[in-house]
Formats: sequence, C-alpha cells, structure tokens
Amino acid sequence: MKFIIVTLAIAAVAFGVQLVLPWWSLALVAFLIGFVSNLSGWAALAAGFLGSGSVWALYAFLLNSGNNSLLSHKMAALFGVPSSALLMVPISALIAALLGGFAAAGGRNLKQLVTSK
Amino acid sequence: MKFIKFLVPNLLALVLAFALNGELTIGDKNLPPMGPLLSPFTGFWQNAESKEITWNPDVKLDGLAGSVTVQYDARRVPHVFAQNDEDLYYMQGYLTAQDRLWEMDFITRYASGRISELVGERGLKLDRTNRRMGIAYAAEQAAAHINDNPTSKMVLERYTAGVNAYIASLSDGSLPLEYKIMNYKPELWSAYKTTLLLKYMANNLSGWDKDFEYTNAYNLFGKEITDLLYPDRPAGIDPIIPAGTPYNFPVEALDTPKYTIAKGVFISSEFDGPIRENLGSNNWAVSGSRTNTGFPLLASDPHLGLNLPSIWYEMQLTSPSVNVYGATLPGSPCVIIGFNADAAWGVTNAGMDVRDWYTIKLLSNDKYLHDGAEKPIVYRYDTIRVKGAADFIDTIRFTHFGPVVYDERFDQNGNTTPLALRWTAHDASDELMTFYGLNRAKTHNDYLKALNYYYCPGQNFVFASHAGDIAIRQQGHFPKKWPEQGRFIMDGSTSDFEWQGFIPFDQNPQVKNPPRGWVSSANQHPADSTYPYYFCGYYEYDRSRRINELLGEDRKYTVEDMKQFQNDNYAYYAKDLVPFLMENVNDLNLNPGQKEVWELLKNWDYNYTADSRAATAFEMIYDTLMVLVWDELQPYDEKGLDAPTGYVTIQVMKAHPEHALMDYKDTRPIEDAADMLNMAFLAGAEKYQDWKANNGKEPEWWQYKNTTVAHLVPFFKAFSRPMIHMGGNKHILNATDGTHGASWRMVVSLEDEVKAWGVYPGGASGNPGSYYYDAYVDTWAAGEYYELLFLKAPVQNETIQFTQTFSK
Repeated sequence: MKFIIVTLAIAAVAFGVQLVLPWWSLALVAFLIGFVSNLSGWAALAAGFLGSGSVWALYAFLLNSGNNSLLSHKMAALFGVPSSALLMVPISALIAALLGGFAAAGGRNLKQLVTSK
Repeated sequence: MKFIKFLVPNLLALVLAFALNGELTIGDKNLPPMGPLLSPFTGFWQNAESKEITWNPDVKLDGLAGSVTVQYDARRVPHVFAQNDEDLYYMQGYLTAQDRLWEMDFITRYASGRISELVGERGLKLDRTNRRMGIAYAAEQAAAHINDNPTSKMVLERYTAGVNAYIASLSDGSLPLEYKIMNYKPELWSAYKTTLLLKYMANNLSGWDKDFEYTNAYNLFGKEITDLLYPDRPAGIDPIIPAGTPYNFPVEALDTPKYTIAKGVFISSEFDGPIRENLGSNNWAVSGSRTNTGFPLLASDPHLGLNLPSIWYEMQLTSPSVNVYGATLPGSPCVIIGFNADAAWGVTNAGMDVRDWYTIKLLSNDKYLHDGAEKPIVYRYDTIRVKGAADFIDTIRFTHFGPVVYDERFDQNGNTTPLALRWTAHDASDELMTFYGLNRAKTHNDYLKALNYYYCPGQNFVFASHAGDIAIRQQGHFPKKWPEQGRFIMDGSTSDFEWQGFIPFDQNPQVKNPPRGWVSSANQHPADSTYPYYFCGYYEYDRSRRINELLGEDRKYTVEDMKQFQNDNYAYYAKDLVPFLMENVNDLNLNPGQKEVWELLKNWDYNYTADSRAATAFEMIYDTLMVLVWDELQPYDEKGLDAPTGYVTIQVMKAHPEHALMDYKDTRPIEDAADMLNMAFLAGAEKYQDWKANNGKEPEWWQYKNTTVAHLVPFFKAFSRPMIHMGGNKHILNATDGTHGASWRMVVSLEDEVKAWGVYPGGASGNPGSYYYDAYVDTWAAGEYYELLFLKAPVQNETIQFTQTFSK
C-alpha cells in the first residue's frame, strides 16, 4: 500500500513539476519523495522507476495516439530504431524511469545515512 | 556501506541527467540532448500534432490595432481578414512563423553564411562561399534602401513584429522540432532577415554563371570551338517575345573594346561538375478570344529544388486595400505568385547573365590598379562561428566592382588570381514593392508600375486581367553589353570592360496582347536577334517549343487543358534524338537484351510517363552519349569545363558528324557521330539490362528517377518523401527529375468570379510531426489540383475547419 502511494505521489508531483521545469526536475521530485518515503532501498528504486516512467509512458502514448504514430515513426527512422514506432514510447519512458529510480533510491539512502547514526 | 548505498544511486542519477541533458558523441555519431528531446513535456512528442486543429480560438496579441479573423480551410490554408494593412502584414508574419519558423530562420542563416554554427567545420567552405559572394552584403544594402520607402518600411516592420510576437509565444515544448534535434534556438526576426531571404532567392536564380568554364574552354580550345560548344544563340530557338514583334526604340552604340580574356584555369568553389540544367519553370496566359469562357487563362509553375518544408506557403491576405491569394515565401511579406479578383500573375526565371568577373591587379595590401591609378580596397572581416571549433575569421576585399571572391585566401586549386564579382544583386533595390503592387494590381498599367521596382533576379512576369489583357515582360535590371561582354573573365585594371549602363525598363523584352493570342515563357531566350540589345544567359530550348506547339492550336482552351499542359511529359530532345539514333544504329546483330531496348525505343511516343521503360532506356543511352561525345572535355573538375547542353550536342552531332571532337580518344579508330550513337546505344542497353538484373524489377522510369522531396537538412532523410511515383524530367513541361520539380502549380481563370486551382509538393505546416507537413504531395504527384478557396469575407460553412480571432 505504502509502495503504491509513493509511486503515485512521484508520478503526480513529477507530472506537475515537469509542466514548468526541465525534464530532469523529475529527479528532484523522486529524490525528495524517496527521502520522506520510509520504503526500503529497492522499493524506493522501483517506486521512482515506475512513478517517473509511467508519467512519460502515458503522456507519450497519449500524444502518439493523437498523432497516429506519424512522428514517432519518423523519429524511429531518424535514430535507426528498428521497425515499430511504438518502441519510441518505452525508449523515452526508460530515460525517466532510470533517472527517477536512481533518484528515489538516492533520496531514500540519504535519509538512511543522516538519520541512523 | 551506507555511504556507498547513498553514493551509487545518486551518482548514477547525476551522470544520467548530465549526460542526457546535452549532446553526446558516441563514436562518429553525434546525438542530440536525448533527455529534453524524448521528454513528452518538452521533446519531439510535443510536435506530434493531431490532425484536428486544437488551438486557442481567441488569441490576444499586443501588437494589433484592430481585430483580425483567420479562417483555416480544409487544407489548413489560412485566410486572413484584417481591418488595416498594418494588422494584415503583422498577421502574415505571425502565421507564417507559426507554420514555418524553423525554415525561414534556417534559410536566412544559410544565406548569411552561418551553417557552421550548426554543423561545425564541414559547413565552412559553404559559409565562406556565400559570404564571399556578398549575399549578406547585398541584403544589408537592400535593408538600408527599403527604409527610404515608407510603404515597404511599414510592411517589413509589421511583418517582423508579427514573426517576433510568435517567437515570444514559444515554450520549450512548442519549439519547432528541428531546433530540438539540432539543439539551438530561434533568433529574433528583422527586416534584414527578409532581405537575406530575397537575396537567397536572387542567389538561387541569378547567382551562377559559366564565365569560368567558358574562359577555360577559350584558353584550351580557342574561340571557334568555344562558340560551337557554347553558342550564344543556337539555331531553332523559340523566344519568349514572338518573332516579328517590333522594337520601336533607338539604341545608342556602346564603346566596344578589343576583348582580352583572362589566362589560366579557373574553377569556382561552387563547381560541381556538369549537371544537366535544372531550369524548369513555365508560365503562360491565353487571351479570352481563345478560351471557352471568353476570359483569359493564366498558368504558372515555378520549378525549384524539391524540399520540405516547402519553399512556398499558401495564404489569402485581405484588408480594405487588398484581397489576394497565392504562394508566399516564408520570410517575405506579400504574395509572390497569385491572383486577386481582377488579375493574376506568375513568374519564370529569366536566366539573363547579370554576374561578371574581373581580374584585379593588387598594388599593395590596400590598393588596386584601375585606369592607371590606385584605388582603395575596403576590407570586411567576417567572423564565422564554428560549432565545436574556434571561430574562423575571413578577410574579404571589396573593390568598386564588388567583393573579391577569390584570392590567395580562397584560391581555386592553387590559382590565386584575385577575381572580383560584379552582380546586380549587390545593388540597392526594393523588390518587395513589386509584390505589394502586384497584389493590388487591377490593370496592365498597375502591373507595369509594380514591375518597375524589380531589379534582381530577372524574372519573366506573365500577366492576365479580367479586363481581357494578357502580357509578359522580362523584368530585371539588365546591363547594356557589347557583343559577348561578360561571357568570359575580363580585365578589371581598366574601365574598358565595365558595364556602361542599364537597359531602361520600358525597353526590356515585353509584349502585350500579341496577335497570336497567347504569351508564354519557359526559361528560353527572351527575344530573337531583332532585339536591339546584346544579351547572354543560360537558356532552355525544349519546353518553349513544346508549350508553344500546345498553345498554337486553332481551338478554345479550357482550365483542364492548362492542367494537362503543366503535367505534359513529352520530351522534345527525345523526339530530336531517337530517330537520329535509329537511323545510325545497325540493329542486325543485336542480342535479345539489346533487341528489347531497341523495340522499346522504336515503339516509344517520347512521353516520360511514370511507368515508361522506354524513358529509362533512353535516359541511360542519352547519359552515356553525353559522356562519350564530350570525352575531350573531361575530367571536368580538372579542366574546369562544362558539358554543352543536350540541345547543342544533338545539333553538333547532326551538323558536324565528322568533327574531330566526335572521336573517342580511348579507342584506336577515329570515330564519328554515328559511331558515338552505336557505342551509346550498346552501352545504354547493357546498363538497362544490368539495372534490371541488379534490382530484380522492370526499370520503370519513376523507379530509376527516384523523385524525392527532401528535407532541407540532408541528414534528416526520415523527414523526406522519397520514391514518388511520377513522370516528367528536365526539359519537359513537367520538369520533375530526382531533385527538382514544380514547386507550385497554379491555373487561374479570370472570369467574372475569379476561379483558381493550385497545388505544391508539401503542406501548410513545416512540422514533420504534422499531418499537414506533406499532405499535398500525393495530389501533386498525381498531377491533380485543389480548387483554391477565394473568399470575399469570412464565411461559416463546411469549407472552413477552424476560425481564430486575434485582437489586442
């Protein structure tokens, strides 16, 4: 339950923050929420990964559907990504997921470092 | 342990964020900042537009005085209804930027020699060439000159303000895609950028010549052969101004010096070998007495490099002073080719030689010799920013002729002779007023008044009015020349070889309502030898003969005829060459592969239709023939020579079949023209069968030709449209080859209610992520048209897909 709440919190806050701040601001969100989360290290990593990644995945998926995959096809061709245009969604989301995951774990582990003397 | 557990994920996050926030070089690949680019909040996903327009219907813009209604039709062409001209041109700037900002920004950077800023050192030679040709210098002259005219000043200032209002509205997410991939930001627009764009077009259309190649030919072969290969006026030309048109004006004789031609081998930095000429524009108008409606018909299809985003942007512009529809150039106010309720106009390139080269005798670092005296050199220091490398500072000398393009800093294969360029594009002029005037023209007189502002690049302006006039004038600021002046590089140490004034505009080649009932142009010679002034230039011979044949029939013409003619695939050069070839090739001992090609040619109607295999076979033979016949001129890049035109090649082969040039040097016997034809046929047939075997399919013309509408950045192949199924070729009315073609096709019927049809190989949007990016390409390729929606006032019906109101 706690895991789901933390994941959703990361997703919701990261979404709002990225509407105004650069893409890497998602790391700050994941870091801070990881810090206050009380999850285990691996759970924080997973929550950051899923929370950040899902925002990018869902938003990209939505924009891609409205566009009939027109541009993702072309971007895939530009970068030499084989065949499927839909692959551009997970590729994009992976960036956010990795960054969010590391940052959430980093935040959580910082708390471990400073609180348990 | 806890410290390591803290350190590792945080370090990973930091490294990831930093690495993906900037450009990455992996091996020889340079990756854009992947984080921002792949983010759905700011990256390319934001450019993935839906087909439906989802914009704000009510936009506030501080720069407007009144309220402006913009209606987007089914093809998303904007129709602008403003209450005054100030708001009209402001909105033209705003809307053009909304669809084409990256394109207009990129082209003006290109023109001013700033590509190295984006692509690094590989752009340096191109940038130096453009700067040394003085394109930016020309734009500076024009921008200063335009300030003297209150009308063009207002138009440009308002257009500029509109573009900049759009730029100010951009966020990271709404930035055009190319900026995101190439990792840079748009710059504010200015009047200077518009003049840069106009000079970019001037450079495209008049910024080349063959003075170097002709000089090299003269030095290698002498005058007689040079004239044979590159004649000023070959036999059989069909000029723009019909033969027999009187020229009733006196012409004073010019001082004609004894020609001295520069010695040496000159190879310009733009030399890229002999390519078959890419000229291709057509325009014509048919008098109402010869149309089915009784009103004139006008057709115009300018041909340019096929690019995306398109060079043209369709618009309707309406204010109390004007209601005009047509093709605009992103970056320039007004409609460039179009129509209003009373009149229509179109352009083709004049091809007149308005660039001459002079050798400069430097006396010291800051003086050169002229008429026995010293003249001062003006220096210009250009700093070229180079991505990933130090700035490059180029020193450019200016003389009274113009820039010294080539010298010891920018040599030609070791030849350091300083060469200055005299080019009419460098002269101050205000072409914008021509288009401002044409947009509002009602009568033939309005048209003439508008043209008198037009200096460079020379264009053939065709005109037709509802009142019933048709006309054509080759307009431009053309130097008066003595015979052959400027065909070769001239001596700049004396004033003997300089231009001695310009042809008055009312003496430019022109005709109004000729007895034959039509006017036309297809990049051919403007006039025959009865025209009192000498001129030289770069002309076409096939399309003019074809269009005049088509328009010369005794019948009433329709809009459908006009469309058919613009898409006509008949090749005059094939008609000239194939029977000659068949007479000379001995077909008795042909193998089955050769026999197949022979039969294709025998049964061919000389139409380059998309599926024609005969066209492919002929093309292969023709290309081979050009290489074999002109082997003496090769290698072109070492000798700095140009191949004669196909038209001249066929004439020389027919008139001088045993000329020494016909011999193929690499073989023992002395060959003649018939031998060349035999060799070309056999080699072409082999090429044809090889292609078939290698590709495993029939060599249909469209497959071999590969017409591609390419993104302006060659690297962005993914944003291009390759392998378009269509016919046509150079020297055919449908002058579509692999890289060039009709950039806008327009037909206007000047009835009581003007009707028009048009299409271009692109779409309204410049965004590769938009449905409207290339939405018209298939219609264009099929030779079909859209009926153009010419509105008198805003309407509420199914022709409009979205209406937007802009106000303060």
